[in-house]
Amino acid sequence: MELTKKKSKYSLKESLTAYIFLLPALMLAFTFIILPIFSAFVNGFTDYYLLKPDEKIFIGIDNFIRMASDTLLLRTFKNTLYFVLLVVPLQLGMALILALIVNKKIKFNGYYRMAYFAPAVLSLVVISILWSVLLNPSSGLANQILMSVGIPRQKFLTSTTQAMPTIVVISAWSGCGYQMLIFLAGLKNIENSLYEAAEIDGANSWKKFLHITIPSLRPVTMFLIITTTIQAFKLIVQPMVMTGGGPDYSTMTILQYIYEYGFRHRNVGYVSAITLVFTLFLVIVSILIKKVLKEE
Amino acid sequence: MKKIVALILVFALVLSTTACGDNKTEENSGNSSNKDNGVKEKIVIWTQAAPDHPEGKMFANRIEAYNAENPDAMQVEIQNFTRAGSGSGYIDKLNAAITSNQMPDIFTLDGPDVASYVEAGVIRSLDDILDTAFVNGFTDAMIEQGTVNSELYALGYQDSGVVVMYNEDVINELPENVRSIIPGPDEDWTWTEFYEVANEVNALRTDPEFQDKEHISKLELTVDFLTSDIPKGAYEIAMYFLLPMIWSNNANVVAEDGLTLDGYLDSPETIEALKVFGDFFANDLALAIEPEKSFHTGKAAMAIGGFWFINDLTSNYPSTKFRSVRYPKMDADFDGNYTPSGSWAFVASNNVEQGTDKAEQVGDVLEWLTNDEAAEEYYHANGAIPGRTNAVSVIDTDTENPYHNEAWHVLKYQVENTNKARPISVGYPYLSETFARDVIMRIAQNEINDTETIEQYVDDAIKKIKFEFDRYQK
Repeated sequence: MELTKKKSKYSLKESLTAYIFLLPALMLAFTFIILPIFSAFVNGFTDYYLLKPDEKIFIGIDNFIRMASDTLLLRTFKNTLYFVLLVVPLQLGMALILALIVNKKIKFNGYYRMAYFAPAVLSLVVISILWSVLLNPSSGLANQILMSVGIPRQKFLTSTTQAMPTIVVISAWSGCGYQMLIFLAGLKNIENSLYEAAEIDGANSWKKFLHITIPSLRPVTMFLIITTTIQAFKLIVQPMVMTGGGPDYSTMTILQYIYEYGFRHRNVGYVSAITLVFTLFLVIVSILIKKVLKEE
Repeated sequence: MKKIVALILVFALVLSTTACGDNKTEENSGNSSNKDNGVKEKIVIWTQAAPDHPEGKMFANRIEAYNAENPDAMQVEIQNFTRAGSGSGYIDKLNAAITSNQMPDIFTLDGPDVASYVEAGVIRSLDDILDTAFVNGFTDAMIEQGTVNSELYALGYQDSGVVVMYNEDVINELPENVRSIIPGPDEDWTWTEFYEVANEVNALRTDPEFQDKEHISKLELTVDFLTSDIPKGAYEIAMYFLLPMIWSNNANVVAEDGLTLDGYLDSPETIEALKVFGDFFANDLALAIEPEKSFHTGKAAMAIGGFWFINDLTSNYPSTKFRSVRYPKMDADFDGNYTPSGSWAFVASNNVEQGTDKAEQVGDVLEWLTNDEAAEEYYHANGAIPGRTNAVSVIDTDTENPYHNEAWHVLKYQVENTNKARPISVGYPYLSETFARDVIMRIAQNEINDTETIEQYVDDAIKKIKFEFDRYQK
């Protein structure tokens, strides 16, 4: 078969115009995305200390070797993984349930949607501060309510065992509104005729949910699992504001570690290396999730 | 036509994004290129004090006065960058300036951080631009704070202080034999005595016979150590408020070289002091996470109170009858300096070249910002404790408020006689944070007072700090 050169259907002038319009976005993307990634890649192989920017030297893979023996870094990785494994199913489960509720034709449906979505538009810092006050072990409203029904005072954010699960619940509550909307859009796209046909065949609500709703939501679910997982791995605001990474580093995440050791302790070289490895890890996780879900 | 207009707009946008950085560069650096371009050179000062805060205003007024008195000299411009928490925001700005070599001529640093900036070569010695007589007018603690390797690098514009405060109404419920343990404003006492009193107050807190008294039933804890600020990022709280406990037990957390921890952080005397601290939490006298302003609102009976408590209490909580006593000692016979001190200080950038007119004027400006007159102005504007020997007498202990008078009387004594600067160490920020998180908060949150566990916490902290300090010992 002869290969023929396809002639562009756009003139040079039109192509040039298009590129010029793209230029500002490209410049911003280059300055704030491409350049920092490249810079992090290079800095990861140096001993870059923020107060001595002119004295950084190439140290090969020393930073990567150091990572392997950094027990706190490994702890933050475990904390982050623990958070992800809990929050993703919880948040998506809550989002799906809320979407199913607001998809029904019930009175004041609009207000329910607004109420469930409201936490998603609040600043995470504000949410974290509010919950810190509510969960204060000595004077918080949460403990006052628990004690009024005979449950002993809980430590919540001041307990090494309760702190992370508490953050999981708060994060799921604050984020599920957004996923609820995505699920709702997915639900609206399911043909009603499928449900009607199932009803004729004698299927009950649960069977309809299992055999029609879930399979139909597959592409939306896959998208949400990937995006929610990536977002969850980037947890930083809630532990930073609510617990400072404590108690006893039980809520310190990788991103918080990177921020603190990069900016407070100025070890830019070392945290650049950590960032590289973490980015690679996230890419692998995304590919694996996609593969697993596609195979299913 | 539309396309031409759109193209012009796009071009302008691209131009503006690349032009932005250059304007700010010229504005902030005040460097000699301005002179070459015919722009009059100026001295630029950066400070962490917000412009609408009394501290920011007092600096602005001071610089305004300097410029008015020296119209022929280089004009001085002061820029404010609000800090958040333990200094971030302002520190981020500084870090960016260091990376891009756009440092101001003079800027402020927290006292204990000076050594790390000296080691990095960011700031210059002040010995060649300041009068010896002027320098000798500072208190010992201020000179100690600003000196690294026998050279002066920083001038503190204020000192600080800490007292133990107690709620008079609560303490009056105690029997006479317990109340007599509490010293007068001119007496020393020990942590053992402090603990004994706190323990008796704690008994009142849980005694059903006293629950009808509002100032007792309101109590949620006995002693507020401000440890709840540590998880919020104020890590320096631990060293500032609690290292003096260790000092007064003839110990320290690090050697004079600022890097050796073995035999210091893990010494028996240090562990002993930490155990006493742990006793407060293990025996329910203190909480790791206290309610906000628990002493001010009557939820705590006693507190380790910084000098900034005084103005807040007298202005905003007039019903709280706060009494003040000296910071306690571990060892009753200890007679050295040990009370908390130190604050932010002015430093000069290494960009200010030696032997130039600019360097000379930078010295003048630094003296103007930190002399006796300035110290007195700062006290009146912000309640700042003077760091100048001659200016300490400006502290007013004869107002209409006896609680205010007593607190300042105690602080004045400590500033003049017992204040001690925190350790000078190139790795101080990391040392301080690890001490706060890995030792103090672990003791407080886990309510630990057994020696073995405290030793384990300290050993873990030493391993971590040594891992980090490796860079300085290569």
